[in-house]
Amino acid sequence: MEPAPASLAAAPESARRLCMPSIGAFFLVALADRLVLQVPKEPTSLSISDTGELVNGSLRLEMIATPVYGETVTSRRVFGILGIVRLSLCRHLVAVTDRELCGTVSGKSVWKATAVETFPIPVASTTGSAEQVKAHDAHLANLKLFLRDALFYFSYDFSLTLSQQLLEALPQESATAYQWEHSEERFFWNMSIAVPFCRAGFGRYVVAAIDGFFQSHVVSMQKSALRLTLISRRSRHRGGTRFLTRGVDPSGNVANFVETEQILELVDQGVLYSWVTVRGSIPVFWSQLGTERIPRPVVHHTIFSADAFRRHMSQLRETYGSGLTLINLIDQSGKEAHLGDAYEMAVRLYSGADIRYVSVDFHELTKGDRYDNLSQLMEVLADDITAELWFSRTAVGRTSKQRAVARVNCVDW
Amino acid sequence: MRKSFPLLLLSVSIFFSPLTRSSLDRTNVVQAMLGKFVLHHQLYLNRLMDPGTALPADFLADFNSMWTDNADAISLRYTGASAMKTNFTRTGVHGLRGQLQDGVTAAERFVGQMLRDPAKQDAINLFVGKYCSRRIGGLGPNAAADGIVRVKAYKKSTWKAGAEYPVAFEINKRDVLIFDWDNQKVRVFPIESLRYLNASVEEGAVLTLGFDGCVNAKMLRFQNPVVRQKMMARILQLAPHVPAAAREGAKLSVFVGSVNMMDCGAMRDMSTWITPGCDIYVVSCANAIFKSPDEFVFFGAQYFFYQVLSLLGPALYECCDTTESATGDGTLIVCRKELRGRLSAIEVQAVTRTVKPNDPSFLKRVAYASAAHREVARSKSQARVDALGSANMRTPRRRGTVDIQKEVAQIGFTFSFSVDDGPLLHFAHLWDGATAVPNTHKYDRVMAMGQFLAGEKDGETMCVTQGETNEEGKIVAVLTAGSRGDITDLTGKAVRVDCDGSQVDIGKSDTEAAPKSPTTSRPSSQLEEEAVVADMEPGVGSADTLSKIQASLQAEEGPQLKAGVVRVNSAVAVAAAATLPSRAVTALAASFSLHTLPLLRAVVEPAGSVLWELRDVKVAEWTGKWPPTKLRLEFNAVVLNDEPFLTPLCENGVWANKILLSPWTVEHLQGKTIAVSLSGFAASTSSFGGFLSTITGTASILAVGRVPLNALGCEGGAFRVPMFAVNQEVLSNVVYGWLSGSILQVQK
Repeated sequence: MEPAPASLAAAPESARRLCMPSIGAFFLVALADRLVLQVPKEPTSLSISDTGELVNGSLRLEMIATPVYGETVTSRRVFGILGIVRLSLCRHLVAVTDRELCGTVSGKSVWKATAVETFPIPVASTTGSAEQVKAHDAHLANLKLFLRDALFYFSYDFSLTLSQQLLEALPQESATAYQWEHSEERFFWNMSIAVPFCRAGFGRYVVAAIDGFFQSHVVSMQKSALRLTLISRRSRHRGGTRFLTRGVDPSGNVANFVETEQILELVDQGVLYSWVTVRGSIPVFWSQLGTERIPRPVVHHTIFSADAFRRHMSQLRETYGSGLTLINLIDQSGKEAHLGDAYEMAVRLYSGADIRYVSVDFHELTKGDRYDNLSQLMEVLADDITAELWFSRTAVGRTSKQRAVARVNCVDW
Repeated sequence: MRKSFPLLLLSVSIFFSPLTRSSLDRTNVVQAMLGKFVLHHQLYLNRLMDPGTALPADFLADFNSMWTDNADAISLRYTGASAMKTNFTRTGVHGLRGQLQDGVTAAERFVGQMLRDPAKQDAINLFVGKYCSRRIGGLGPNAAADGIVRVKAYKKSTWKAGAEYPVAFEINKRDVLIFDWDNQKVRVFPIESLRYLNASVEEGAVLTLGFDGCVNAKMLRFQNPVVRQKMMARILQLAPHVPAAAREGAKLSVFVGSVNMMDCGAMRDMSTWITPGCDIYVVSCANAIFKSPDEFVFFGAQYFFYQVLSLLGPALYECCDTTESATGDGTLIVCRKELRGRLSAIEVQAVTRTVKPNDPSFLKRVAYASAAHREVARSKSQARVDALGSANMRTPRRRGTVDIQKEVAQIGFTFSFSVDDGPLLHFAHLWDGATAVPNTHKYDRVMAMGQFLAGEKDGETMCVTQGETNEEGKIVAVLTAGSRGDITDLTGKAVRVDCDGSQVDIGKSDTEAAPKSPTTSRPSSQLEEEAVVADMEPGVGSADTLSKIQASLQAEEGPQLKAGVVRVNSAVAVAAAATLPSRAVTALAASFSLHTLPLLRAVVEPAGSVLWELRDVKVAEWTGKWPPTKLRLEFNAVVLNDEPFLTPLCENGVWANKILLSPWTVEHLQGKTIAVSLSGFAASTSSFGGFLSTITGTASILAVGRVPLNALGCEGGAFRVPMFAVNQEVLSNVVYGWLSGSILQVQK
């Protein structure tokens, strides 16, 4: 929308095309019987309507000749489609209605969705019972609340769900596909609502959004320009709020799993470094339900625990490389203690190689605001970090991979 | 956000406690620290920085604010409030202002959690494709055509009242969602995990669903059979992998048993304890607290469960449920895989007993557990202090990890389940009823195996197995009228019990059970005679049976088979003790080797801490009829372990031969034969039920010192045989040596 600030201007290099670009801006026209997505200067437009039964297949997506409207029609400018949600009365189109340029990563712009709105898709026959209406309204209200608080970031030129290392590894044919086809499903938040839309052949309207964080700063150091970028991607698996979703599930997904990527670009040299670290809830079965302010965490020892832990570990190792450093920061006394014991026990029972488990009572360490004590922890970890690799890409395209990752957690991760 | 809670700002002090600084920030602080380290390194590689120099101030400010915003953003998404300690990440200083901010944030988190979390959880589920019908009313006739099937159902307890509840069950292409009435929550099961589907014949509107990883089968009651039929068709269409046919009722064999394993110590080979091939196993372990050489304590119940499952074969058996208590008592229910979906209403409950606070044995147990945990806390803290070299760190107090101060002790468990929605089958397995305290260290309590005809309609079936004497008598098994079953006791003798209220039939063993003992002094074909050995309360049994039993007890023709059934009012007490004397002795020997082991060990323990296993037990002498007035056994004892171990409780059994109490060295025992006699064997041998006798044994020491792994039937891998057959030393070598390469504590 606004021109990019000068400091965020695109890098001089033009990296290879990673995917077919999604459409950056178009118009949404709400008619009585359909929604029309109209790309400026195109002879045809996408018409979205619903035959009314709300069954699979009742949604009609078709290209029609761009209609000519009378004066009464209102159109909205939209900046990307997230997908279609089906509620009990009708379907809703979820679209980005306002955006903000946040910066660039290796020359490609990244946007934040500052407003996401839902547009009901007109249904031929809307005969809903009172219960249906109630259900519909309740869900819609929840959805709107969620969308209001969501922090969706996306790019039109590449899938932001992929870290630099994964982007580099994309196959050649991805350049002729839209971004949704080559996205990391864990971080592709609108995947389940977007894919039916995309599969129908309209992937160019859709952006793959991550939920999390993106920020980019340009600084100069010794007269060379550096761009420092931080991206956090929350996993959509076992998503949930703090006390309701805890620990691991039997498939090995942990609550509140977040991948954080720190990218350093040396703009002039064309060098890029990407370092990925992850956090997530303690990968054992536990819960923290109750009416108290801080309910007591309860560990559930089950016969499946070891299996779930194993799955989580192998997922991490498959994704991020074989070297794992598990950093556990929870209290080693008090309410949290037995949680740490359970974690430690799970690690002990897990036979994977290359796992380093470091357990530090953060509060004990920094007691009395001795935050300088953290440097002691750093000394302990330093050996590992230097041995740990990060992804790097030089100007001539030589790359080296990150093969190890640090997984940090406290109680809420 | 902060503006939204002006009132809470005033009461910051309420929320500001050490516990409120729990969470999100710690991770971010450490990750930012790592990030900075990485950044330094990358800049250094490009000669933009020298090692040891700091980042330029503006760069550092950018870096810090970026990570701080990151923490806030993620925290906001997860808790509805921004992160704490961002003050530190932002400025590197966490002053009073930062602390105050922490309190505000904690307050915000609390409010957010109370007000908005459930709604948000719904929206998240909706957005990521997990449709969730919580708090949503019925969805009308169109719903079924929607690919989402929703069904009204009724809360179980109010079925009769006819109260209608909203959507209780729905299925879409990915998930099955079932409203859990007890927790007022929707449970989501992936449709692939649906393993079992049964339409009950008797109850036309009931459909039972079984899921992987879910304890209980889910029973749904529909408005009418037609709806159910439609529903089933729909489910089968969406989940073609589920076999539709409900299976006919079949005989089930159930194995119920308990193990007391103080310190997870050496139990005898578990494969001789567990009878293979049963349909359902309910096994429980008491005091499975294990302390490793490096002071790491864990509750070994999980290990025990794992071992049981490994032994039975994970390909054939599946875990239905586990329970675990703070004192390390745990119960595992395993059933055949194909049976999994047919079991429902599985419930395990601990039988507890109030303990007098001044009960010395209970106090000992409490003291033991507390001491172990205190020690662990101290050593952990010390390790950390050593590692980090910080003098100002205090030893953390360990609170509430073990909740055994309550004056309640577990004395067993009850277990019930239903097959194919048939009547409930109840089992009760009681431990040492007298003390509620494990008296000896490592022996299995009792085994009982029943076969029950599933699907009986006329009343609930109850089976009480009780292996040890208590003040109430010597009942081994109790079955209520209207049930049938085979009870197998420790000797392997199966007694057919068929009591329909009017007749009591003592069937002969039709399964020639394998003796549990290593030796059988006489071939089993010669075992023909039977006698009754039930010990009953006078006056309650049927007079006829009573006199029969008494007659057989007074018979002159020497030792006889002791097996019998006594009807006691509506219940039948079965004492399926033994067959012929030789066989009885065989059984006794088996028990003896199990039960005496800890006593023997305890006696030798003051000097050498020798753990023995008795082998090749033979009867050398038998005087009198049942129970024998004198009995001498010969056996070989194999020394398993010369490592020290904890023996907090060893007071049961009076040792007649005081010589054994004198300190012996291991060398002294080598090749020697010792005479063992004991009396007052109160925690006595399972189904024999508490007779007082003198048992004399002759022990030959075959080996002293460390026994190689293969002598224990273990071929080097830690889990080739049940862990509990391996003594602690071997365990430490194998398991911890094996793992130590991958475990690193914070150490210098």
